[in-house]
Amino acid sequence: MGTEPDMTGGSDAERIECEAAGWLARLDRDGRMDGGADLDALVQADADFAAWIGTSVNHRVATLRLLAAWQQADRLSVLGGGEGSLPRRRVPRGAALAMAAGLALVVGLAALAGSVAFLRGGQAEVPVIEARYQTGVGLRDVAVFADGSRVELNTATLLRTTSSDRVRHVELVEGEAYFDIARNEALPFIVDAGNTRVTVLGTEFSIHRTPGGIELMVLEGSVRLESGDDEAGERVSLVLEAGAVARTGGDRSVLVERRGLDRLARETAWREGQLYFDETRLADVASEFNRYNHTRLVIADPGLAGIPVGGTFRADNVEGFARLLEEGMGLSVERRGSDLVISA
Amino acid sequence: MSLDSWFIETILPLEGALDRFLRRNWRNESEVPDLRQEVYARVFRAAQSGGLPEHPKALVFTTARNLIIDRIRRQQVVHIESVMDIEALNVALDEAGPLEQLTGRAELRRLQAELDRMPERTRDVVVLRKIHGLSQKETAAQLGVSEPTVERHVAAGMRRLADALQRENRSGRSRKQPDARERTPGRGH
Repeated sequence: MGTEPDMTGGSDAERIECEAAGWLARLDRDGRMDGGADLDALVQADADFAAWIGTSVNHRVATLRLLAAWQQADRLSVLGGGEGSLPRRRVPRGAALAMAAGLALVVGLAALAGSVAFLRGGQAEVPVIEARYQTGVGLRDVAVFADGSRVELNTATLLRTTSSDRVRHVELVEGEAYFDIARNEALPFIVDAGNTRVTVLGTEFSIHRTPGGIELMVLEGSVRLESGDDEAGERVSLVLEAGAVARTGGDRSVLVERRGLDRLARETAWREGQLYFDETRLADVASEFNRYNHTRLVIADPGLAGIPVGGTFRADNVEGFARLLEEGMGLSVERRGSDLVISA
Repeated sequence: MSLDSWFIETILPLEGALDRFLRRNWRNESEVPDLRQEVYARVFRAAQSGGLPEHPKALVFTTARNLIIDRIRRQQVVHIESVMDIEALNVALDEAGPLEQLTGRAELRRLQAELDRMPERTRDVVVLRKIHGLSQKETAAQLGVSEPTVERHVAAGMRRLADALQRENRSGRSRKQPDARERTPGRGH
């Protein structure tokens, strides 16, 4: 497979890694790697590649390692870096390219100046930056936009961002995210989650994708919520103020509740790795912990599901919580594989 | 969760610590990538046949230890130091330190720093492809080079990025990494 500019040595691992890189570069050439394709998708897209992957587990692990790094590099497009929000860099001319160039400068690479210059002088117009963010179970991450807007991803979350000087857009594909959006009257920030759209000019809110809908909490300012099937004429549109919680579901309704900011702040405690419960049913507490951990809480005895639980717990300390049930509430907890089975 | 994503999310983040362990316990440093890949393959196979392990980190280091023991035994001449190394391997498990998982921000810094270190052409290709979102074809046109050249630099670039994601861990052994799940408290507001 192709000559490597920096190939050294000749070990087996090295050779396999070269081959893996060659395959991925070819798939990238064919546009197969766009949109964060996983290895299974790539294998399905190319029979020769599939055959090579199937030859040895070493091929697979070497490929996964490179694939993960290459997809991590998507982060380079929407840049954070440093602490807090990013200053927006001014770029003297080329309005359409201001965003791309601004981002490139934010990368903080002197070496990039060359690339930016030829972009400005060249024919390519690349004003739209797209990126994909994904967190695994129990992890969190932050996406930062060039204007300082921040999106915090909770556990097991996937979102796609699109930004340019004409659009600020996030698609929340799954999971939960907290949005802290820089104010820009001229450029609404739009979040799509299934058939629900949230539009803001600058505010703080969180969205959790639930089965069939979303739960939206507004912590600052106001947001516009649109939900439902537009073509069927069932689209609902309303404005929600800080303190409001809205739930959309399969039944076309939007349920709005007022909870107060203190409580909303506690309910977004996942941003600090905490879970907050207030008279919450044990069954709901268990499913909440299960979002954050590979070790799963399983309630074997249906009679226990309704036990009310209150308190603040570390999201990753499911073992500690189980001990509390055991020692504090006299329940029995038994480990079976990766399950913690709770019974009376 | 698929095996692939389990491997990416749970095993790959241990690479810095794994490499340190291998380098400490294997005399020939140039063979470390080889050992590492073999550890990955064994861990992957174990998860494939036996299900996801409860303690992935322990599995990785036990596998590394067993691999080193296998290799030492297969050597024609067993050096006395090797035998001592085997004793040392038992201790090393505890030394491996807490699970180090990079925050998104730390990863970004490493990727940026690696961009800086790349040969100019490779860097240009990665910048156009990843930061500006050009296709390989557009990248080739932009740089005035052939498409196969771009493809080669993409391959080289991704290898460098994969190594870079662990590099800081390699040098800074004594540095205590904060738990990635705990972010700095002050949110700029």
